[in-house]
Amino acid sequence: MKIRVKAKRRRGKVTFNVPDEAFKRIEGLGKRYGFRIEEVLRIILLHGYIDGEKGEANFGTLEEEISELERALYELEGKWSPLKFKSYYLAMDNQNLAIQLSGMIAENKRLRKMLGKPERDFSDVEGLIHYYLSFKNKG
Amino acid sequence: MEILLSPEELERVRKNRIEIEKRFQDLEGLEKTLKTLRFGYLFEHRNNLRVRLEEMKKLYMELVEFEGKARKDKEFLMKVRKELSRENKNLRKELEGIRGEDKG
Repeated sequence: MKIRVKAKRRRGKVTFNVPDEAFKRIEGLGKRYGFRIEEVLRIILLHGYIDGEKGEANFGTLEEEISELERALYELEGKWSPLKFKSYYLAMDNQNLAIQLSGMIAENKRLRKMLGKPERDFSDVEGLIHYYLSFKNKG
Repeated sequence: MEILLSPEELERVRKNRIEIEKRFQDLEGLEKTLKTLRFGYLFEHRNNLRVRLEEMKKLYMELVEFEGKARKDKEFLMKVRKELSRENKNLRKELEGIRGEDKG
């Protein structure tokens, strides 16, 4: 197999003659470790070799852990969207209730004043009204 | 087969030609390199997934908590609305009664 190395918009090239058998093995190694042949050739041509001494057992463990993590993420993402939707509409309901209640509380204060009655304590409700009126999207 | 490089890269290939030819023969060295790179990729990918999963779990728990709070708040706000509606109605009646007495 002839491997011709050229540059864009530049004349001249470098050719390497690689025996077909060796090229097939190079392709096979690329496939085995998840690299395209162009990537393998770039490593050979430009980056040189490194030696990290990684055992097969580590690969298996890592790949198993990755698929387990991906499965967990997928499951969580599946639960996430409907819950976000539900929470958003609950918050919108509460915002509408807050609008209605702030009007009703104002009326209650006015009526009590006119009747000479003491003001009622709405501090707990008013806290919630303020919270939901300023709600944008907590999801 | 043709490989396209940048002019600078082609120059490097020209300079290192002899070493590259040796690399084409050293398939054991190539395998160790690919194995190391693959391991590095998997290691990083695994670590990124761990971080993403932890973040997702945290956000999901916050959302579960928020949904629970919003549900309870809705029940409470509805209860207050019902009770306040009744009270305001009674207060309005009381006020109308007083106004009626004043007129009479």
